[in-house]
Amino acid sequence: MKQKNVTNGTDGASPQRPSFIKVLKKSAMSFAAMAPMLAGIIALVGLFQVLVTPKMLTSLFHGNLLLDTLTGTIAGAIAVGSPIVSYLLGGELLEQGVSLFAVTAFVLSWVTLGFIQLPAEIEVFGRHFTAWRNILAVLFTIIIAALTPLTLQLLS
Amino acid sequence: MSKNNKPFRFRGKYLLLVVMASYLVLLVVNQEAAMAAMLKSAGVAAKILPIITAVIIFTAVLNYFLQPEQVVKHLGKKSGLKAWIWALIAGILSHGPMYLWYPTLEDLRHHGMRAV
Repeated sequence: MKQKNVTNGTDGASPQRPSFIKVLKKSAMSFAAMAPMLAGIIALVGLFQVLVTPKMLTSLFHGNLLLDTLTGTIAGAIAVGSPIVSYLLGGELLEQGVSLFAVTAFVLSWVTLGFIQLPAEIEVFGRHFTAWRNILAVLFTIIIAALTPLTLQLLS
Repeated sequence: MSKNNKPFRFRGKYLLLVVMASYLVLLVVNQEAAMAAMLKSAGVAAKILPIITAVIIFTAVLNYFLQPEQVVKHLGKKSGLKAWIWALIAGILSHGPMYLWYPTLEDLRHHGMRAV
């Protein structure tokens, strides 16, 4: 019996994929659609950088280990900027006697949390995902903030 | 083929309006701070623009070479630990603010990447 030659109407050729320019255009359009959202967030970043100063952040810490760790988490979530800025600010906080627990929480929440990007996160991923991701990020920030100095103490 | 043919619509219009209104209020209350905030924002935008361009090209390259079936295979519901490893490596290597990657992640999710 003769074997059937099923070519799916393409004579054996690979399935046609759109040209790269078309894909690039589509990708640019999905970013263009997000332009008002990105502009809003960038404008908020500027606003926060002026209104929430490093001096203001430093004044929030009072020496209570638990309270400072929570403050570090909240301050890191409110503050905005690249992670490098959080390392510099974290270094300043350490120099001023703020505990390593609080500074670790501050740096971690700076990177993983962000109040100003919440609207964008909800728009793209939905309320449910955003809520759980942020709740878990807060929890794990506090856990890692507690474990990092303890690990350092154990190792030294 | 991708089934992601959503009609074009701007997103975050209300957020932008609220932020613009906040700037207007600040302009009335403290003009100096408002101007400083605008300058800071312009600086952030200038820094982010090359990253946005790179992310757009990266997203296009991903969409061009990675077919939805491959996304499902490597990052889909049945991809197990492999998807976690890919996600961790991508997260470590990615550059720029988190929100710049949201459209790329949204595209990947439409192509079959799992949420968790």
